[in-house]
Amino acid sequence: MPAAPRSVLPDGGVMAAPTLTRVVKPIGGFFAFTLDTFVAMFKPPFQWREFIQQTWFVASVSLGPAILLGIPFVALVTFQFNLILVEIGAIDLSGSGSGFATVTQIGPVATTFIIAGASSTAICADIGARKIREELDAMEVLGIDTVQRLVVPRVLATAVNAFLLNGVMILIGLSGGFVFGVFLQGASPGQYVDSMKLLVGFPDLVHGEIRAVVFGVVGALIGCYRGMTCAAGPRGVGNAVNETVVYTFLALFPINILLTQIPYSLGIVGGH
Amino acid sequence: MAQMGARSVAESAKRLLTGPLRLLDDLGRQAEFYGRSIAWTPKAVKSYKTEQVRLIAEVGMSSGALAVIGGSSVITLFITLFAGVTGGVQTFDALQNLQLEALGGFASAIINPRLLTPIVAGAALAATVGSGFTAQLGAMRVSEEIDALEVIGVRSLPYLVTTRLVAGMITIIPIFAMAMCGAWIGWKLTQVNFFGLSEGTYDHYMDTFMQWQDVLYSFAQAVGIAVVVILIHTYYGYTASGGPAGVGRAVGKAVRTSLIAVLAVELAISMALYADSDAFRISG
Repeated sequence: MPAAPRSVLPDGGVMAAPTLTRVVKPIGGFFAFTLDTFVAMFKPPFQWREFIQQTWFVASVSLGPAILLGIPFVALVTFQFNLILVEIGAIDLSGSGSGFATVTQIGPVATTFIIAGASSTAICADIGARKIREELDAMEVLGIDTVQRLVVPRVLATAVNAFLLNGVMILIGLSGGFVFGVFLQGASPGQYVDSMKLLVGFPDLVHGEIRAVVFGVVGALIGCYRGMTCAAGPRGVGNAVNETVVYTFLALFPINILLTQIPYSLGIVGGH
Repeated sequence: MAQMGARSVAESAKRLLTGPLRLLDDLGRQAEFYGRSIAWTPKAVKSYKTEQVRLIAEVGMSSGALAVIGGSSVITLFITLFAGVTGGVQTFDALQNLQLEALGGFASAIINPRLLTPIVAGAALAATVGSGFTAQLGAMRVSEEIDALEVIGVRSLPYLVTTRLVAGMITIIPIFAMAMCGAWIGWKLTQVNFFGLSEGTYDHYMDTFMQWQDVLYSFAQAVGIAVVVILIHTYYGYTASGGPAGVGRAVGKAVRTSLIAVLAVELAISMALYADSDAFRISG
């Protein structure tokens, strides 16, 4: 028998403990849950059917928002950057700014927004609904490991989606930057394409993709954990989804800094 | 076989025709909701003072588990601080490639008020305040508390929605001010204390290129974002259905919609304010 996943869930007992315990206990629970998930990830059998369904599900809730959010996001940044370039008479460098901003930060950060706002909320709402309908308890009674059956496929599905969403964001970024720079602010199209790779290269793309995958894994883990620990009643699920968004943002921005700086410090990216 | 094919074609044609109509219907209903909740503002402010004050406190400090870690203001500050650090790291590396790292203060003066703080603080606001409202109102709707309000003769729209809108518009100003300070502190901390850029250089370029209009404009963006976020989130909460699971879905849908709306509103406002060719000046 696999280790009982029930141990990671708070016992729902007396919460009269002081504030410190209220903060620390869920964090400890989350780390235990993460560890359980990674152990279960390598334990056969792998849930292919659930994985494919979840990949489709996460893609269907994230792709639309990703496109709709990506366009204004990119337009906003390119527009401001081009204002500076117009002022110093270097609008032809518009491509380099758009390439740099999109590949290094906008892609991964916009992916963060989508993971936090769309994917992990949908996962949390789904798991939370199962939790309050006592489906999770029923699964455990049947001896099914909920972490292996439900969490692992969702985490991997979100990771795959984050990888692809980052690509979508970069595509939107570069083409949106082209439309803005060339058609509206007077850059020359050839110069735009030519200067695009002035500040970024292939290592930066890999760097961005790795960050996106990490964001996807963390976002899905938070969504699953918060969904599995949600309280009963309508307010319980609502609060769980609300907290999922907040915790995902809180976790992803510090992770972004670490993952941005470490490769620069090691000299893997940058320095063209 | 052929019959079934014909039927499915007819069905999908029907869906294709009714889809946009249903979307239009939904948009109309949303517009009506927004118009009405804005129109109730004078009445709501006059009649529901106690509720108004309670909500202002709640928007700033949040309730439940989020209040334990400091409420929406501290969460927003934390997120923008880290966003500022990220911006500092990323621009320092890019400028160093061009041997221009001395211009870190310039990047901070331009990027923070114009882009970073409005985007990040807008997302943080949608996540903390907005989806909290959806969860609250959705729970009230599902447990029929909103119907109960109507039965005892309290108009639920001004009492629940308009008061929240006003509270959000008032509270966004201090929250946004904190967020902007957070972004600047994070940026300067990174470039001056971690990367060893001279503080005098940083401050000099920052002071030279900082424009007071930028800060003013970004507060205009903040108020616009607050209005849009709170209207969208209260709409999805107010119209939630389908029991506890429906509340969870409503919160998710509201966050998706409002993140898109935040960026669209920012783009619209910043193009309106900055598109003037004189909006950016290198000197003076």
